[in-house]
This record gives sequence, C-alpha cells and structure tokens, in this order.
Amino acid sequence: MTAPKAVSSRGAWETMKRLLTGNEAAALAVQFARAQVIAAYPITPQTRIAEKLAEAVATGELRARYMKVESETSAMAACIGASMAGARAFTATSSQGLALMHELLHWASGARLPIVLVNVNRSMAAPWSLGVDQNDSLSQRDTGWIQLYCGSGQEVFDSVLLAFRLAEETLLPVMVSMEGFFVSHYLEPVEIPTQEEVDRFLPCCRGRPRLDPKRPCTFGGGVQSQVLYSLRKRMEADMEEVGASFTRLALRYAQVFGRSYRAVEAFQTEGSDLVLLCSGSIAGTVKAFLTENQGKRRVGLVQMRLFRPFPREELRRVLQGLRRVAVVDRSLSPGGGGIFAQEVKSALFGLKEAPMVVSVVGGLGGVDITPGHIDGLVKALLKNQHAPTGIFWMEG
Amino acid sequence: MGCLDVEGLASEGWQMIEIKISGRGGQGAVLASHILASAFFKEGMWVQAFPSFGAERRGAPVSAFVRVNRKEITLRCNIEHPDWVILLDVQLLQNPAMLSGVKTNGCLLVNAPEMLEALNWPKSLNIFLVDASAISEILFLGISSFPVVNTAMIGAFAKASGLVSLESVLDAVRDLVPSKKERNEAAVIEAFQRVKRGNLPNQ
Amino acid sequence: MGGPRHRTELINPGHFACPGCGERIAFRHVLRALGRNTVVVCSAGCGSVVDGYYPTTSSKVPFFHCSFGTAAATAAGVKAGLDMIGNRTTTVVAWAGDGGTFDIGLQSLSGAAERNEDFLYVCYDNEAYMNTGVQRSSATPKGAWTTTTPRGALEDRPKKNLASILIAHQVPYMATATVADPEDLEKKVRKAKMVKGFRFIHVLSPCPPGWGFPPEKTVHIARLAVLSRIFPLFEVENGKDWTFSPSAEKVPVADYVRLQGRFAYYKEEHLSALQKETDLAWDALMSKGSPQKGGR
Repeated sequence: MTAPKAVSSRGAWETMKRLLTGNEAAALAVQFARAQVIAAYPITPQTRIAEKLAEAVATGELRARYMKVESETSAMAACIGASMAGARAFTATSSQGLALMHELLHWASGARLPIVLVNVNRSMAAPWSLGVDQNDSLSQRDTGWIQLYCGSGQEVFDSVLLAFRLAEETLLPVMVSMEGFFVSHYLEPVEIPTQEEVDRFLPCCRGRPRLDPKRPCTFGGGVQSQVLYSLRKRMEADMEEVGASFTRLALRYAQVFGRSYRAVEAFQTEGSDLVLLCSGSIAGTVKAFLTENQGKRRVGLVQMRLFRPFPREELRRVLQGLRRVAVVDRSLSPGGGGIFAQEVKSALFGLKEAPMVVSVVGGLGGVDITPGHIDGLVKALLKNQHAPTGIFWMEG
Repeated sequence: MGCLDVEGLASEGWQMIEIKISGRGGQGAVLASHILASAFFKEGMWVQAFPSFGAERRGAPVSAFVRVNRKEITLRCNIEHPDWVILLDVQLLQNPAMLSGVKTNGCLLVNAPEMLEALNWPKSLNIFLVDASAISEILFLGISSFPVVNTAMIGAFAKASGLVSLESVLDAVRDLVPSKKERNEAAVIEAFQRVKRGNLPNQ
Repeated sequence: MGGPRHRTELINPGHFACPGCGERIAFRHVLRALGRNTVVVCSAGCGSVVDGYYPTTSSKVPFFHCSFGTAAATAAGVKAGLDMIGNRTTTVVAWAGDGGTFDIGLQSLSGAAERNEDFLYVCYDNEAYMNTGVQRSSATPKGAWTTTTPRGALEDRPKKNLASILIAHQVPYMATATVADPEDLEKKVRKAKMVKGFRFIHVLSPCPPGWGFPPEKTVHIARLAVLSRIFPLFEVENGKDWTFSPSAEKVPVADYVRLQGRFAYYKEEHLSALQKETDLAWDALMSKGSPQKGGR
C-alpha cells in the first residue's frame, strides 16, 4: 500500500509513509538490508514475513537465495551455513519454531555468526494457543543472542536494520521480537527510507567468508575446558560492549533516518510515584493512557527495547531515586515469576535509592490489556503502599 | 449526513474514532478494514487496522477493526467501544456479540434495504442502511448466495459518516482490490449515493 | 600406496581415529577425488571427533563442524552463501555418519534431496552410533550386537534401505561404495562432483571395535560385504537409471558374518535366512538394470 504523497518531510529528504503490518515491515526491512540467504519455515503468526520475502525473491526485487526448508531446525542450520560462508543470513519464526531452533541458537552465538532472526511472539504449547506472550523469546535468553523488543511496525522496521548492522559489528546474532497479532497483524503507517539511505547505514555484504579454500581453516572442533572457558569470557566481554555499540549505532541511525532509539526509553518518570516498566505493545498502550491522563496522577513509563545484554547501567540510571516501579510482564517463568521482573530486580540489586519493585504479570495468551486495565492496575498499586512480594496478576 | 460531531471530538478525551466491521468469513471484512484505513490514511490521518483474533471459517462471524486519529495512535488493544459498526450481513443483528459495547448514540451501518421487522434493531443507535447485496448482484460481484459487499459498504460509510471522501475510498479500492476493480469502484459509488437513514436513536 | 602422483593428499596424519578406521579411509579418498577447492560440513559423529581437537585439525580443506542431524541443511546453507558471495566453483560436501544420516539427520537429508540442493552428501556408514560407544542406528543390520541391542535383544529390524529413499527423491546422482575399492569410490566422487544438484554417496565403512574384527581386516571385511552381495555397488541417476559395478564371484554370507564379533550370536537358522534374504534382494536389484559383466 502506498501513500500517493509524502506525508511529512524531514530536512532535505522526503519521507515516505506506507501502511504496513508489523510482519510486512519486517519483511521490507530485510529487503532493504539486502539479505542474501533467507531460510524460513512457516508458522502462524510469522507466515506473512516468509511469504513477502519469497515474493520479493521471486520477482527479483530482492536478490537472494530463498531456501524453502522443511523445518525450523533446518532453517537455522541453513542460516548458520550461509553465514559461515560469508553471506548475510536471515530467518523468522515464532514460539514452537523458535523452540525447535534452541540447540542451534547456542550454535550460532558460539560460532559468532551475525545472523538476524525476527521472532513473532506467540504462546508456547501445550495447549495450543494462537495467543501472545513473550515466553518463546525470553526463554532463549541464555543462548547468547542479542535481544530487541518492538512495540510497533516502525520499531520493527528500524530494529531489523539496526540488527543487521549490530550483528555484523559485534559478531553476535540478533533476535528482534514483536508480539504476534498486536504488532505483527496491526496495519499502521510506517516511515520507509530510500535504498540509498539504507545503504549508507548498512553497507551490503559485510559478512566474513570464513570457509575459503584459499585459507583453509577448521571451525568448531572439540576444545579443552580452558579454551571453552576463555571463549565464554570473551563472549561476555563482547556482550558487555553491545550496549555501547547499540547506542552508537542508534545515534548513527538517527542521523541517517531521523528516528532515535535507546536501550531503555523513559517517559514522564521524573518525580513519579509509580513507573510502569514494560516492553513491546504494552508500552504503547501505557503511553496512550498516560498521555490522556496527564496531571491526574504521577505515573511514568519505561519501555525496555534491549533485553540482552540486559542494560543494567542504563536502567539503574533511569530508576535511581524513584519510588516504585511495577514491571509489567507478558511472560511467566513458572516458579520464577515474570521474566523481565527477575532481570530488573537483579539489575537493581545493591543500587542506592533503588525503587521498590512490584512484579505484575498480565496478557498471557494474548489477553487484552486496555487503558482501562492500566487504570485499574495503577489505582490498585497506588492504593497499596506495600509492594506485594509475589506476583500481582492483572485482570484477565 | 455526518453522524458524529467530528469537531467536537477534538475537545473531548479520546480524539480517536473506532470502527468495527463485521461480516461472515469470506465476505472480506478484513479487506474492507484495509480499504477504509487506506482511505483515511490518504487524507493524512493516522490509522490502525486489525482483524479479530481466531481462526476464520467461511460463514462464521468475523470482525475487523479500524482506529483513526489525527495524531499517532500508540494504543494497542481490542476495540471494546466502537463509535461505528458496519455490518456486512444483516442477519448478524441476531448475534449479541456484534453490537456489544457500541458507544451510546453510536452509529450502525447495515447491509439491508429496510429495517426488517423480524430483526433486533438497536434503539439507541443512529442507523444507516444500504442494500449492498442488491448493488453487488447488479454488478456481478460474488454470487447471489454470497455477494461481495465489502467495497459497497465502505462507499456507504463514506457518505453516512462524512469522515472520509469518496475519492479517497475509490483510490484505496484501486490500490487494494485484487480483481474486478472497476466493478468494485462502481459499487462504491452506487452505495455512496444510495445509503439512507434508518432511524435516529430513541431519546 | 596406490594412486597417480597428481592426486593430492588432503588429510594430515595424526588424526584421532582408531586403528583400521573405515571412516578415515573413506574421507581420505573422497577428499583426494574432490581436490582443494572443497568445503566440508561435518556433523557430530566419529568423523567430527577424529578430525582432531582444537588447535589441531587433520583436514587440509575448510572444515565446518555442525550439529547432529543438520549436515544436509547446513551444507545447503553453505552452498547458498557461497553462491551469493560470488563463489560458484567450490564444492560443498556434507560428511555424516549413519546416525546423522539415517536417523536424526533423515529429515534434513530428505529436505535437501527433495529441493535438489546443490551439494554432495557422503554418508560414511559404520552401522551404529560408534562415536558414543556402539549404540544401534537404523543402519544396524539384523542380528547385530550393539550396546542397545545386547544379547537377548539383538537387532531385530532389517537395515533401513536408504538407497531406496534417495531414489524415491529422484536425486540426480546417488551411489554406493566401500573402502575396499578406493578407485571405485574416487571414480564415483569425481563423477558426482561434475553433476549439479543433490548427490549422495553411501560408503560402507567398517569399524574394528564396533564390529569386532582386527584392525588390519577393515578392507577385507568391506570387500566381503560386496562379494557376499549384502552391500551391492551401484549408481542411480535421476531415480531411474541404474548402473551396477562389475559383479564378481559370489561368496556365502556366512563368510562375511563369521568374521565379525557383532554377529557372534548368529545361529545357523539366522544365517540361512540371511542368505535367502540377500539372494532375493539381489535378484530384485538386478531386475532394475543390466549389470556389467566382468569379474575381478
């Protein structure tokens, strides 16, 4: 869908807004990024991404190999092979499919491959559900992948482009997640750059051909304990640099495209009685709620974009001195509570003037979270001055 | 023939308009929502369009939603209190879920020639009618047992609501309808001309 | 050592294989036939362990370790990646054992074969999961002892007919070979190298510790597998054009079975049943094409 005229302009460049769903935005970004090998297996609610890319390759709009693999395991295996060969590799999946890739997610990060994966969050079976929560991607948090969370089609588009650049600079694979349905299927305006602008930000073919008969090497063979230990230490050191890389690249992104992103976005947090910390689409709903209820209560919002590496320092800076933060999780680690809540508590540990942290869980299975629910949540939390030690369950 | 005080909306809490389009699986409610969203978008509005959750099956009730606002919509949740409901199939009036939550003094546009006695016409809504099935038959869109009415209904909506222009709707139809473009455009124009008031809400 | 001098040795000595390892013989000859412009994708199994531990490697061509069961998908990805960066000449070869091919790797094998991905897949078949200590695979023949088919519960299923699976996929080229005839193996590899699309070579690679025979007998055992007609040698192109290697004089299956400790529990009646089955299978095979006459 195209707008017949530019809706807004930015400096010397005309911007073009198009109506796209989150899935279409992801696919378009992959096209702009000039991905070279795409291996994807269809799974609801990701299918539109696979279809759009297959179409783009078929028409020649995207010069790439589209591999119609027979499972998600093979999708990631093929991406690993292609990335080793030096090509820019991409896949997309969801829930059960991501779970099927689990072994290979470890492989990709261990092999330091700059693969980009878009995950459309969907609740894990059993039982079958086409609902939404973030358990699928969050339960991969230990696999060594950088993880970004998006709440709108625009964020998805921009995060995919950022992801390719970030992956190739850090040699760590990047997972970009968006909620199924609430982001993947929502049609909305997305600002689209020109190919020239994208090429300026993301030069093509930055992959390193490691499998080269002229310089034969063996990769991934058995190692002694000390070697593995030192590799892991190096990976952690490199992960710790990712936050700075992300900030630097986001700045560059803003210079080229005019949109800026931070690992942790704060909205109206100063002097607040309560901060709602969330990720993905819930952040947008909270923002709308806060915008409509300005001045009535002192409530702020923190939207987490970067989850791995967990932006500990930035979060501590944003939350220090605030009274209370309610982490609203659309996830649950059974027996361990909301997943972002665990990470937030751990990141704040030992911080002077740290806020009280309340763990809120809601929206599992795609249960709707409306401004009305946010209103009810805020009222309940402000009324009760003591932070519940367990999970505060949202309506649903 | 505007139904809502569009200017008045600017001063009230939510500035947004929320529209629900309901039909049966296969009637193109989702495409209708995209056409409507696209039409608003062409006029510089910010839009959001999304289908209802769940598996779609030919014949089963299906809803698609549109939000429109002058500025960015960051809200992301189901529409519980639509301002407008567009029903592609008049029989859906029998289904209480179709009109649940509609705003008081909200508007209802139905694919029907008249307010047939046997059905549950809501008393608190502004009602608009257009015989989109008849238009579809004349233009050979779909088959008589399953007429394609989605484009006509959007045309009727444009006139009934006064919120979006006929031109924008026609533009959107040209962009999005995969086949029989001219016939669909004709349906839009015909419905735009034929839509009429059903009744005003009871006081 | 035989072979013309111009064929380069592409594996280093000092690898970690057991004495008499069939896999190493197979790998050596496959690489000799493919040459330097080759990339190996090797899934978990003996082949990956024997290459050596970091920082050493016995492979003189680029060698990528991939996870168990993903050799075909990874190799397909490598080939796609090489193509996209402009390298259309390097041969990609997937190197996997029977476990990684018949069992856990069967799905990705089938996927790659069905899509006619352009690479060569070589399965070195030692008829069990040898690397993890001799557990059965679907390539383990009936009557064989393994740790998961111990005495009292010997393997009771026939060896999975992988050739027929690949033939059903109508791949451009598939062949069987053994380490007993390296010239035949190299010839088939060189032929496969020139074909575009999915190519498969199934190499019987006897395993001294796993099969229970002295390490100097590897080649002899492999030869008996062919002569007893338990492991026939043939090529099939596009799922329909069959070529048989010249068939020599037949030896009884007993001669093959009796030399291996894994068949120690084979009884007389099993032997005669095996002979019958082998003969029937051979006749069925022969009906598919005309075997070249010629002895050895």
